[in-house]
Order: sequence, then structure tokens, then C-alpha cells
Amino acid sequence: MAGKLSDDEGPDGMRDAELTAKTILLVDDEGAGREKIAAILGRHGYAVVSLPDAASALALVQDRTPPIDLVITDYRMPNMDGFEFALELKRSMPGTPLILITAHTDIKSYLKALNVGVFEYLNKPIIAHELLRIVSEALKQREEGRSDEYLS
Amino acid sequence: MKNNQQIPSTRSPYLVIVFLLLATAVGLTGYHYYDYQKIQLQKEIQNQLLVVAELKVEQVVNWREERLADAAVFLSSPALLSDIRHILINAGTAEMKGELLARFAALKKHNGYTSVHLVDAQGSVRVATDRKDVPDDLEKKQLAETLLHAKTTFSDFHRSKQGIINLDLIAPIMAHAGKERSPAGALVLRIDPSLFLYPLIESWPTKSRTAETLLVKRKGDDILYLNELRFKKNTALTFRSSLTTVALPAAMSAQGNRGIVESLDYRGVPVLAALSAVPDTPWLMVAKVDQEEIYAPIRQRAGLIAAFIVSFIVAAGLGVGYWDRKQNVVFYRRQLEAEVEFSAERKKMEGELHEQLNFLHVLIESIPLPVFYKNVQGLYLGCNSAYERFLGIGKGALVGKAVYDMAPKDLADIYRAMDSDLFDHAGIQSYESTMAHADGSRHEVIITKGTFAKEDGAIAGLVGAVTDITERKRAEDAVRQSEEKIKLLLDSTGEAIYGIDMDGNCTFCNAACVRVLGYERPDELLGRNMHFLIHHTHKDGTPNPVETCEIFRAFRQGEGVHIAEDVFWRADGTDFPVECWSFPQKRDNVMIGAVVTFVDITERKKNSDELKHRQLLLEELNETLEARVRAEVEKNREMDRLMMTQGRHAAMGEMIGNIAHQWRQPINVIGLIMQDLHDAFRHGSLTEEYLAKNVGQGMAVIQHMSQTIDDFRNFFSQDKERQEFSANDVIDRTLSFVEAGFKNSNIELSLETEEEILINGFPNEYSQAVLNILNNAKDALVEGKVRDPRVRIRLFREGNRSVMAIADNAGGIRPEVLEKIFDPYFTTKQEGKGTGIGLYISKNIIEEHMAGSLTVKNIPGGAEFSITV
Repeated sequence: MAGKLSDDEGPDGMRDAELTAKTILLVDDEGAGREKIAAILGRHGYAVVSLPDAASALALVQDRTPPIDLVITDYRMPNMDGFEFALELKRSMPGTPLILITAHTDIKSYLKALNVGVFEYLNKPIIAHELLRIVSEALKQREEGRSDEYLS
Repeated sequence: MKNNQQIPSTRSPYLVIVFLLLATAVGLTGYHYYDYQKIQLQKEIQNQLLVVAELKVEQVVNWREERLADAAVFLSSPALLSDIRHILINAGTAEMKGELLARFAALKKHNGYTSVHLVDAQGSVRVATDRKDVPDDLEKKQLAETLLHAKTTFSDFHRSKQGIINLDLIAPIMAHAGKERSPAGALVLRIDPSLFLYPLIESWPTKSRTAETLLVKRKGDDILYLNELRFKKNTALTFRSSLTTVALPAAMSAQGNRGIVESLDYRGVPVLAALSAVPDTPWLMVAKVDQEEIYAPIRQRAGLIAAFIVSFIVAAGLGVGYWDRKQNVVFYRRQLEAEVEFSAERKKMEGELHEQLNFLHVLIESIPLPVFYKNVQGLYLGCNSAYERFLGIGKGALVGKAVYDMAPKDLADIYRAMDSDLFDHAGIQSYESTMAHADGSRHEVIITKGTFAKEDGAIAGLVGAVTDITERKRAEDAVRQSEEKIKLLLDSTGEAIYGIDMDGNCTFCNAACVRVLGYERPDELLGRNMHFLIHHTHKDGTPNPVETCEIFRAFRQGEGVHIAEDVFWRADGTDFPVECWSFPQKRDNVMIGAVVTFVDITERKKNSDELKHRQLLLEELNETLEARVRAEVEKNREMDRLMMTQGRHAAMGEMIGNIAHQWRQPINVIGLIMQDLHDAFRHGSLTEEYLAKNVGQGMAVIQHMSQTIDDFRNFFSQDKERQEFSANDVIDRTLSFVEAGFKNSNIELSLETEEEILINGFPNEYSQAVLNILNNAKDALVEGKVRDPRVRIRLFREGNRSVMAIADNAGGIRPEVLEKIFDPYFTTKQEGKGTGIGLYISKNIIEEHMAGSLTVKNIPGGAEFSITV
């Protein structure tokens, strides 16, 4: 029952919204939590593609149009953790902001996250409005970064 | 003679060219250096002159401005001006004149004027500090001009009637204040330039012998010198030079030249001068210095440079000359040698020499011993054929070589050292050494060497003869070796052994014998009569005469004897019990002596006493042992109880960590569910269906958490009694405790089961045993920073027993750790990280409580624990 809704919102479920809304890729191996975050983000006007692991996420972003605007990922995942995923993502989609969600709260992993180019680092339990604020901030910065690129 | 005409000049043209090139290069370098220095100095002096000229001009301008200010200040008082006008126009009162005169006197005194007077428009003096000092015609003309322009002016330098050079400052005084102006008269301030202006001009800021500043002015076609000259007295206003003397700096200046010029001055001396004009005046300022003074330092330096160049060229010349000469000497010597070589005389001498040499050669060749000879450098000069045969080399390969070319390094080192020693102490040297044959075999030799001298007595080299002693050496070595072997054999036996001749005197003794008898060296015994030394007295103190001595008697008769107990005496006079044997020795069937062996039996005698004592002790011990064992067992049991408690506490700590990991995820989900509901509500999309679904999800999560905490609690409740339980259930439950922690450390956890396995025992304790092993594996994997960490659990049946095998890939356990891993309080973890009782408790539970076994072994890549119940 936990995976049902998230399947509905999987890559195939995205259609018209993509044309106008910002697309967020959500990666978390834990179905119930992923479903809730997707629901909240969807309600706030984002198109959400949610996937259970980093490998399929990387496969998806490879040649996707329109591109993913933002990535939210859980840190603890089987096979590839959030840091590795962030590094891979940076290689294949440079400039795409990434938000890392984790149960770890120590300063070392926070700094490590910022070092690998993570936009922000969120601790569990997640506070919805904080997540929404960071998402919009990240997208705004990406927008500005984009226009700068065009200018130069 | 016949080559004389062929001697060419060795004075090669190259040498001359080299010398000329050197000289030119040095000369040019020197000249350039000199030139460069000169230009630098010139620049410096020029700057200095320009600065001085500017300074002087500025000072004169300042001075003039000050004087103009004097006049302006004096005439700035309206009351005074009114009085002056009165005096000029209406003759004025005597009182007025008196007051004005007083003011004039003050001005004259304080500002250093020669005289101050008031003149009317016609030039008549109205009020004057010095009556005699009335204006002359020239002055009047100047006055008229000043009044015409109604502007304060300076007169030029002029000589007064008294013959004093003066300078007048003439300030016109208008008849009326205001716009309509006609001059009524003028204030004339007379200045003596010799008091201030001349010294000002003449002073020079730096110390200089010839530097001077001139103030000149053009007068018709002449130049008039306005101040006193440094090198010509009474020149001011009297000394003139023609403007057409172009080289004169003053003339150049008057012709409009400015800046730096190099020319002759009024004395006809070459100078460097800076020229500039004094603004608002016809005056020109000339600052000049004699070139001779400027160039003195550079000339001095030029002297040095020249001296250096000359000495360098001379040195180069000498060097080239010397080389040339040396070449010549070599050349002539060669020439001479060539000549001598060709002479018949030489041929004859050579013939004789050859004969002599031949004889010597034959002589040396005939010596049967290998003979060689070397020069003082240690190079081989030659050898005889015996030497060639001995070393298996040809003479050709030897001559001119050093020892290092001919012999292996270890030997060559010796030869070289001995050779140099011989050269240091001329004479004869003989030593044993080794020589290597060309085929690599080595020969023991005696080398005898002697030095030979030149006619003047100096050492010319050495000659050596070689005696091969290899065979002799080998025989000697064999004897020595066998002797050593026997000695070694004798010395290494624990038994004391000595030999005696027919008189009873010691012929040999081994180390044990010397030691046991209390001596230090064998030679303390050798040659001594052993009976009188060690066997002279019985145990009870009565003498043991040699006639009755068993050992003596036996060997004299050619019999062996064994004495079970006797007494020998040590060097220090004490006695000890011995057991001894004597064997007669014969050579060629003739009795020559005996060999006696003996052992000290003090210990053996003592040991039999000791044994009795031990037996007694043992019996006593047996009686108390039972009680002590009982006490020890009780103590151990107490210890175990304590350990179990500690283990439980440690496990509880681990559990709390596990709960924290387990709950973080569901707490996050519940939080998200609640926030999602609120969010949906605010967006107006909260339907009852959606609410119900979310609540359902939340409850499921909460249910799961509740189950978890129950499991944890159950885990800590003691098993009351033995029961049959499913090992599959227990491992599932145990894994549910730890899987969050394992996942958090990215450790892959796998479980392989085939069938339901039932065990009789205590499920919670069994679970704890498994848990401890799992935690141990987790810690090892995390601490070892293992890549792709894995724990694999297999549950299977083996006969009628169950086996739970838990394997990790943390690299295995070191052998020294492996044997202690189940010991209580043994831990390899950092201080504070491990209690060291987890595995001990596991073993205790499985083996003591459940009659099973817990073992560990290393498998490829890691370790495997097996619980068999």
C-alpha cells in the first residue's frame, strides 16, 4: 500500500505539468516517506518524479527533456549513498541543485555534503515548510545562475 | 746537427694574436668603464650646478620681493602717507619731518638699508637719513622713469659718489589717493649689496674649491660682472668681458644660452657652468665649477683603472710569454733527444746495456722460485718464468700493471699495504699470504721482498720471491683441525676427563674437569701429579697413600676400574663425592698411561633426600585441595553472575542505539503524514478519503513502532524456563533489532534458511548470544572501514543439531586474538568502545546454559562464528 501512490507518480505519470512546472527528482528507498514528500511538493505546483534508488535516478536523468530542475535525495540508500549520488549527478548534470535528506546530524557530514556541491542538507524529521523554502530558494538560484550563463 | 735547419720558430703568431686580443679587450673594457664613470659624474655635477643656479635665482627673487614688501609696508599707513604728501607738496612742518626722519632711521636700522630718503618729483631730497647721500644724475634718471611708470622699481647696481656700489629701491608716492594719480615724489631705499646680496650669491651649498656663482648683465657688447668674483678682486661693476668671447659662460648666458655649458671662464680656465636668468631683472646667474675639480675624482679612478689595465696586460703578456717559453723548452728537449737517438755512440752504449740486461734477464729466469719486481709506484716491472708458471699468466699481461689489476681486491689490498710499508721502511720483508692463480685457485705462500735502490740511494722499487706453502699449510691445518675437534669434543661433554702418564702426571684435561675441580685454566693441572692434587685424602681425613690408590693400581696393571663413590679434592681445599672410571691407555702394546673420567655426585645424593620431602608435601596438599577447588568454583560462579549483569547492561546500551536508529525513519514518516494533512487542508484538497488513508498509514507505522518496543522489552526479560522455540523466529526477531543499525552503516545483511529449526532452551538468551556476535561483526566492519561490508547468516541442520553460522568479510581475526576472543574482558576495540564481555557471554549462554558450542574460525575474507545447539 505504501508503494502504490508513488508508482502513480513515477516517471510515466508526468505529462502536461512538465511543460510549465519545475520538475523535481525525488530519490528515497523508503516508500511511505517518499510518497508524502511527493504529495506535498506536488500540491505546491512542482512536478515530481520519484524513484526508489540512485541507479535508476541516474539512468533517468541521463537524456531527459525537459531536464530535471532539482534533485532531492535521501542519504542512506542501498548500493549508492547520497554523497556518491551527488558526485555522479554533478558529473552528468552539472548545475542541477541537490538537496540531501539525512538522519545524521554531525557537522562533518554536513561539511562533506557542501563540499560535494550539495545545495542544502536537511535533517530528519523533515519540516515541510522548510523543505519548500529550500526548494524554491534552490530553484531561484538555479534560475539566476542560468540567466548569468546566458549573459556571458 | 742534421735536424738543426728544421727547427721552426715556435713563437706562434697565435700567441701574439691572443695577447693582442686580450690587451685590446682589457683596454676597451677599462676605457668603457672610465667613460661610463665620467658620464655618471658629469650628470651628477650638472644636476648640482642646475640646482645651485636655480637656488640662487630663487634666493635673489625672494630677496627682491622682501625689499619690495619693505617699501609697500612702510607706505601702507594712510596717516604716514598723508604726512609724506604734505611734506612733498606743501613743504610740511618741521614736526612732521622730524617724525618721518625718525621712521626712516628705524627702517634703515632694522632692515639694513644704507640710507633712506624722500625725494620730490624733481629729485630734490626732502627728508634723508644721510644728507651726503643725495642722488646723482644717473639716479635722477632712474627716479624720473620710476615716477613715470608709477611703479616701485629697483635701480641697477651703481657706484655712488663715494665709490660704494649701491642698489636703490624707488617707491613712487602719488599726490592723491584714489584714481587720479600723479607722482609727487618717491621713497628711495638705498641698499649696500656687499652686506647681504653678494654673500648670498657667493655662498655655495657644498664644499668646493672652485665653485662660484656670478651675477652678470649685458651692457652693450660687453658683459658686466655685478658681484665680486672669487678669483679676481674688485671686479664688481668694473670688470667687463667682451660679449664676443663666445666661450665665456657669462657671454653665452648673455646671448640667451640657458642650462649647462662647458667652456672657459674669465680666467681662461675650463669650467662647467649652469646658466639661468633672474626674472624681472636684466640679471643673469652663472653657477660654475672648474672642470679640473669635477674631474679630479674620475681622473683618480682613471689612474686606478689604467694601472689595473696595465698590470693585467703585463700579467697576460707574462703568462703568454711563459707558456711560449715552456713550449720552446719542450720543443728543444725533443729535438735534443732526437739527435741523441740518432747518434752512433748511443747505439753502441745501447748494445752494451742490452748485453747486461740480457745477462740479468737470464739470471732472473734461472731462479727456480717465482720472482717479481715492481717500481716505487707499485707497478710490476717484470717477473721470471717461474712466476709466470706459478700464477698462470704471461709476463706481457703483468708489466706496467698494479696489484689491483692482477689480484682480487681482498688480496690486492694486502699486497698494496705491505708494499707501501716496505717502501716506508726500506729493507727486507717476509710474510705469509695468499696468491690467486689465474684459474682462481688460491695458494698459501711466503712472500719475501726487498727494496732496490738507484745510484743516488733513493728507492727505485722492490723485488720479491714467492714460496708456495699451500701443501704444508694444508697438513698443518688438518692436524690443528683434528686437535681442535677432539678438544671441542672433550670440552663439550659434561663429564670431567683427564689423562695421566705412567707417573700419574696430568697430560690433558677437559673444561668440565677444570671447572669441577675449581681451577681456572687447564695449565694449572697439566704436568701435575693428579693423585697428590685431588685424591690425596679420604673423606674422613685420613691420608690416601698412592700405593693403595685404586686408580693407580688398576692402570699400572693395564686394567680398567669403576669406583661408585669416592672423594676428590678441589683447588680451594674442599671435597666432593664423585663416581669415577679409569681406562688404561696403550700405544704399540705398551702402557703409556690412563684416562680418568669422573662425575660430581653431590646433586644425585641430595636429590634422593629432596624426593622424600616432596612426597610428604604432596600428601598434605591432597587433603586441602578439595576445599580449595570448591571455593574457587564458587568464586567463578560469582564472577559469571557479575559478568552477565554487565553484559546485560552493555546489551541494553546497544539496544537503545538500535531503537534510536529504528525509530528515526518511522518518526520522520509520521511527521510527514501530519504535515501533509495540514498542507492538503490548506489547499482545500483534504477529502475524508485522503484523511482516512493518511491516518491508516500513520497507524500502521505506529503499530510497527509499538511492536518494536515490545520486542525490545521482551528481549530483556529473563527466560524463566527451558522451552522449545523456533530458531527461525528468533533470528528474524534479532535481525529486526539490528537491521536499522546495519543499514545505517551500509552493511549488507543476508539470511539463508532452509527449514524451520526447533531448539530446546532459552530463546531470549539464544537471541542475545546471536546479537552479541552480530554486533561484534558490525563493529569489526565499521572499524576496519571495509569496502562493501557484508554479514551472511546461515541456519541449517547438521545431524540432530542446529547450526547458526554468522560470517563477515572484515578480514578475519589474527591468530593471537583468535585464542583469546572468548576470554572475559578481552577486547581489541579502542578504550571505552568495547567491554570485552559480549562474546564471553555468548559462549557462556550457548555452552553452559544450552549445552551447545560456540566456535570461531577464519574463512576466506573474514571470520565465521558457529552456534551449534
